[in-house]
Amino acid sequence: MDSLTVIFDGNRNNALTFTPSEKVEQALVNCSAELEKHGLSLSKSDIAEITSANISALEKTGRLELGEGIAPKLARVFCSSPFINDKNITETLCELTYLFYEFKNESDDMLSDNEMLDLMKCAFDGVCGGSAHALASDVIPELTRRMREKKADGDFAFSEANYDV
Amino acid sequence: MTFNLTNTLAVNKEVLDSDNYFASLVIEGKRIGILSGKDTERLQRESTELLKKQAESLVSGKSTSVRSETAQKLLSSVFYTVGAYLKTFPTPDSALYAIKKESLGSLFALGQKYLSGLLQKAKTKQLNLKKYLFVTQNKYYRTTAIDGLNAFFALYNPFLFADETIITADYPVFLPCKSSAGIEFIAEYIDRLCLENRFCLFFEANEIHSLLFSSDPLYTNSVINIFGRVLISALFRTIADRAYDSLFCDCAEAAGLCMGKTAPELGEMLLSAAKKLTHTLGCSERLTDYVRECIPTVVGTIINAQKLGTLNGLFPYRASEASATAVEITDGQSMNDADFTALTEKLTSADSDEKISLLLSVISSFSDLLDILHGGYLNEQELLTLFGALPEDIITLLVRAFPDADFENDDRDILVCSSLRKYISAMPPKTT
Repeated sequence: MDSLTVIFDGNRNNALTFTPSEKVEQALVNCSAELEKHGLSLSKSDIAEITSANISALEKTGRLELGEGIAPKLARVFCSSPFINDKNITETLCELTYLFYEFKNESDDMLSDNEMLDLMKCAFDGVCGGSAHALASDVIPELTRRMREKKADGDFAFSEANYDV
Repeated sequence: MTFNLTNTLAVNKEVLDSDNYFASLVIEGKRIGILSGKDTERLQRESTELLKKQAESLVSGKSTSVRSETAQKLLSSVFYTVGAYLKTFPTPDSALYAIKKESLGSLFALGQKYLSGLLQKAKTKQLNLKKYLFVTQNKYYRTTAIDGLNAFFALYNPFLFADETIITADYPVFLPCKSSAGIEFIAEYIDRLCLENRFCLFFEANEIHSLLFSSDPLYTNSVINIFGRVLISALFRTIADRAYDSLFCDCAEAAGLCMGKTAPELGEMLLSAAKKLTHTLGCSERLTDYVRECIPTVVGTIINAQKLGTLNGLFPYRASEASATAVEITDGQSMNDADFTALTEKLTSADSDEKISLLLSVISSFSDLLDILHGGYLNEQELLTLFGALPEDIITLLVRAFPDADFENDDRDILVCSSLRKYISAMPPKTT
């Protein structure tokens, strides 16, 4: 007998949904001032699109968000990127949201959110030349491999210098 | 706190699952109408709130998300903790009323407190166990009682993953634990191990070694329960009115005592012997109770051995290690890999006479002898010649190591079995 199924009347997923979409949307609205400093803005429909991508990314990667979702944090970190502009911000944030959760899983949650965001931003602005695709296909697999190797050697400790991206 | 117990015994105990006590109580509570839809909704809401708190504790501010599998583990731990606490209630009905009246958070906090007490008691008991650990060459006994349990206490996280057992507890206690997970299992396991350890301490360690060795020369590396073997021997020595300086019993005499008895009759005879045995040894009340609880399992073991014709395994003849002149048993101190490889290379190119003299001059441990036999280096005639050169004690041990060709899958082992049978059937009958 599965306790989760019993308590949640057969729908185990009911237990595993914390973050209402309104909360994510509000958090994205709260980023506006910071985005504006870099000449960026998100419309209502952009926010809805990113929020939907955030929830979909959580489902696809089998993760459960405790707070307001990672999308607002991604917006704050990546708004300073020279490769982000008003035309591509929504699409890029949607892609990065999925990549973030995927990277979290692949790296066995070894890094904190902030460490992971730093690495992603550094690679995105550097070797990836602003390409989320390059981040997904080249950088994240390589970083994950290195992290796992270091973990297996027992000397894992986060240091940006160790991940020369 | 008092609960309204007017519906006493409304809960059907039979449907409650010890491993999922909370969930099974909720199902039963819904069935008998004590838990309403509103109660269920509240439990769902409170479960989610608790899960969120637990997940936040786990990531401690470093992450805003966790894997779904991790979340499920956290929630299972919450339910386990609440269930463990609810089991302490005098009746399932009172536990069910607690679910109805108390918040899940409050039950969880009380469960944490209960598990913490259980953990502390288990730690103290293991410390005592380590201090007075019965000395045996069986490697699983010591590694489980010390290393395994130490690892459990070092890694166990009762706050977040209370239902994780972490270790496998390789050494089996005589009566299997009722709990199957977390500190509930470990506490019960340690409790049983302490009682069994105390019982074994009443006897000479060397005598227990002889008993176990005679029954299985490879017992040092086998996953066996020691207490059970000692208890059975001690019970039959009690019935035969013999002292406990030896643990060997005459197999024919034991078989005679059991013959024609039904299970209840056998149980009665053993219970009476257990009463006398525990009194003579001066066992504590708890140990006396435990020995009594073990009697049905002892009865089952004996009846099974009678059916299978393996009573001589329970009541073996004393195998003398010292008299094994040609092959000295050294309890697993076998030759190193390089020497062993050199020996097998020589065997491959030697003729029959050379093989036998080589083996008799080089082999000094029973496990090496077994490895050679398993390796198929000898043909039937060579095997028969080798057996003829070995002392009777070693032949006895080999018969136990190769009991029946039907049990073997490997052709080489089947050849050893059949050659051994052939050798034994050609031996002159034993005069006693």
